[in-house]
Amino acid sequence: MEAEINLSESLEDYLEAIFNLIKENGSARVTDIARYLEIAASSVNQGLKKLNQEGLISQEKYGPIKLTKSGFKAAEKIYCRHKILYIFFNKTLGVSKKNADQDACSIEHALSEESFSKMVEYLIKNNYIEKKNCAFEMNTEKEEVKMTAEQLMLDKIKVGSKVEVVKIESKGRLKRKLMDMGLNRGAKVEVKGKAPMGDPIEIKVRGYSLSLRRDEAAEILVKEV
Amino acid sequence: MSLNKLRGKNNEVKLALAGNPNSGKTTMFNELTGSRQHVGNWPGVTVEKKTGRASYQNYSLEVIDLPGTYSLGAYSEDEVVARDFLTTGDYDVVLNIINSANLDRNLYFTVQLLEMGVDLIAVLNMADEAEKKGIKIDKQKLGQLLGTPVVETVASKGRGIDNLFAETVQHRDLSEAALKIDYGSEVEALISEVVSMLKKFDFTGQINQRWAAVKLIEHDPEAVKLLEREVGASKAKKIKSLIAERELKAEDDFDNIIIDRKYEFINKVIAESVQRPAEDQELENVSDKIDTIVTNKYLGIPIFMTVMWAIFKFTFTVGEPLIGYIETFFEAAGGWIGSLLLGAGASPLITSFITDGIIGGVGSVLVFIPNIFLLFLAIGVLEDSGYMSRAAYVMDKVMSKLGLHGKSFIPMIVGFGCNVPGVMATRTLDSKRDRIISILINPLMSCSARLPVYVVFAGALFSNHASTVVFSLYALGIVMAVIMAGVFNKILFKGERSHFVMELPPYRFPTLKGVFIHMWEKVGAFLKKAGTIIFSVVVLIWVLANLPLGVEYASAESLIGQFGQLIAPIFEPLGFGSWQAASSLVFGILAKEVVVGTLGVVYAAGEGGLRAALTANFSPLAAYSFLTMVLLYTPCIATLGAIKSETQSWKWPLITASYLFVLAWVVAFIVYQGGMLLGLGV
Ligand SMILES: Nc1nc2c(ncn2[C@@H]2O[C@H](COP(=O)(O)OP(=O)(O)O)[C@@H](O)[C@H]2O)c(=O)[nH]1
Ligand SMILES: [Mg+2]
Repeated sequence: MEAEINLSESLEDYLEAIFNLIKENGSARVTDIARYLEIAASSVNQGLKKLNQEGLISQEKYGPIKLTKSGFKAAEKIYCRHKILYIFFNKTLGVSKKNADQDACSIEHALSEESFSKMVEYLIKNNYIEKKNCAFEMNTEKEEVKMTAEQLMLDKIKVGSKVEVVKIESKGRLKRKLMDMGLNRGAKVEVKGKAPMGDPIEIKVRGYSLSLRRDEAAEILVKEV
Repeated sequence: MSLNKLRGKNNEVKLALAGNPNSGKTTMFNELTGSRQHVGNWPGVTVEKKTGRASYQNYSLEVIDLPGTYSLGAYSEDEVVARDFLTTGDYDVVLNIINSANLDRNLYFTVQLLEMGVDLIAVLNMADEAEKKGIKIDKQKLGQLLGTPVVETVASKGRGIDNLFAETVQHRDLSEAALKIDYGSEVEALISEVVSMLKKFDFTGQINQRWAAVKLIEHDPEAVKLLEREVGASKAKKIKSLIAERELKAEDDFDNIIIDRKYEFINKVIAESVQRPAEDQELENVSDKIDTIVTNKYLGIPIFMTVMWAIFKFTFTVGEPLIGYIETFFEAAGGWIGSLLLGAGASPLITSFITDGIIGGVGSVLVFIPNIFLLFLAIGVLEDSGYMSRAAYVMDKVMSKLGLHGKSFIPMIVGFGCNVPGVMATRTLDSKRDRIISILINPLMSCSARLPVYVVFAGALFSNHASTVVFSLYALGIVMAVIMAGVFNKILFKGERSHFVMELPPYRFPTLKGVFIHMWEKVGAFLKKAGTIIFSVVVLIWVLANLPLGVEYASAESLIGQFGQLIAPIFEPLGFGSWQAASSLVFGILAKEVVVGTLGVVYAAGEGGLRAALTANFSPLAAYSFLTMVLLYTPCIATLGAIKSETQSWKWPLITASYLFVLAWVVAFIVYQGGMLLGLGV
């Protein structure tokens, strides 16, 4: 795993807000974040500046805010903790949805690694969550990284290698198009070649040849098989 | 679904061919209908609509060739046409043409159709290729699993067609229940909730409600629009927020789950009905081998250049003598009919109208035919062989730097010959943005009609540097095209992201029949659409050159001449403010080479005298400024006509005409005034 970045509690909140906004609306803007966290836009701007310095987000002037790869990972981690806590409170303890959500929010930043993994184990054992979900991935990531092949973006894969799609990180129409062309999770992909100037690349998927630009391939997470 | 079961009683059957691109739909269409077909456009868009008729036993069949599409997700204009047609259901049976050698991806579309409740026959085309690859398909089992009739064909050899006809007439009243794929408890629960809301809101439409629900859960923008239209925004919002709320709590995105389950279903179907060799035993196929050469790091670009050069050569060298024949024919016909009319006592005005106006006008349209014919022949071969998509692949990096698409290169190359087929060649681009930008910059490719103008001026005024001057004009055109592509990208289509997710189809030998039919359609469409526009403008110009009554054709006193005088001051700052220069530019809009002829007429100079007249009336600097104007200003009527018919709107030809005029003026101004400042104006 990458080096941990220690974030202050409020920065984690920003990151989580951005993550959720992007997930829901496809984009996150300063005003959206301010509304989401119920704080002033000026303080949002300060927070964003810090996140930018940490390399967790990238923002073009007045453009939407984007999570960088490490930003995405950090946000996903917080998001997972939130969700696990929420499920734990709501499903096992029967806490009301509203309170479960609020409590999850305040505990998520301070929860120790140990309690977190114990909680996940417990939830899996009692069938509250499936193995596939994000929490499980988070929980076992360390071992899995050692056990299975490395995960990379498709544009980094050498010509001639065979890989399997893990996740499409594109959004909207591009994501849809890629999936319609047969690039969903689990699809086997072979990198066949690249154009004379190195871009686009040609891959073989589901028995046919498909071309895509490098920046499109850079949004497809794959693992070697 | 039985949407509109059209003609249950009599013997009419309406068929639609649908499937992935390159699955053999058009080949099948030609095989089914012979040559009895009609080509038009789908309402409102330039996508071709082909309908044809066939008869089988005592049945009369109407066949429609839909544009190829990979899914019902609808991205390009083509795909929207196919989807709209399939969802509104104006047909009896859909023949879903499937490439048997690539079942995985083809069945993805089939499954979507079946889920929507379309009554279809699964046509396993290219059975020969599947066989060669060692793929064995159990038709019966496949039909059972999909719940639909299955027929095997080889469209390119006419195999299985009779069988297909028999199935079709037998199944014209086919009414299958929609296919149901199990999307897992979480999604299924949501689907049934959405369906019951749809029922409550009286969302009947013509559409299968479960299918609509799945589409809504996938956030399909078209489905959302349809819902809003049918039930109103506030009710639609209720459904949308229900879905959003569930998604927030879900462990996984619903669209991921849905697509995974679809492919799981397809994999299961294939596992149960298809035998194929293990992956590592598959032969390395010929296409891959060709690709390693054609897209090779060092060979890729030289091969591309050679192919483009060959097309260009082919189109314009083979075309030239043919154009010569057409010109000679129309001149002779004009002269002959003219003397015949005069002999019969027709007034000179009527005679001139018929010879100069009508015959000359028709001639000016038909002159383009050989080029367009040959060009589309060449493009047809490239497309059918599979090289076209490789050319785009090889060039995409360069073109996307310019804000264009890999496929934009072909129209640009073609434009150097003639902008009319250049504009028409943009059809191969599927994003509207790429297409419009390619059209807008196409006239900046200096077409062959502008060359005579350059040659005359260069010969008269730059005899020592003639070729350098001509070359610099071509280069200037390209530079301007690059700049304008960047500008349009910024101002017209801000932020739209185009992509290059494109199939590279296997290489194939193009069939003669396929290529010829392809070519004939394009030429026919040009004749019909651009022809009428060009023709009427030509007649209009003739009228203006002859009014007021009694003036000499195109003289200073004619309306055109007067117009020339009126607008001449505009060109004063550019160094050529005479009415002669101005009216030659006006006539140049008819066709660029006419500029030379008009200058000959208005300076009342013969062939040899024109050079002297030009030397006397233009300084070298003014001449160069004039040539930049000729290069860049408003394109000819034929090009504008082609833009109108390709974009189906007057907006784009008007924008093209005006932006180019402004651009030409500005550049010529900079050339002339800059030259004066540098002391070149002698
Ligand atoms: N081997 C083989 N080739 C075919 C068959 N049907 C069509 N083709 C070829 O496949 C290519 C694409 O066909 P076309 O009809 O243009 O496909 P469309 O894009 O679906 O309209 C052409 O080169 C056809 O000659 C077939 O059954 N067997
Ligand atoms: Mg076709």
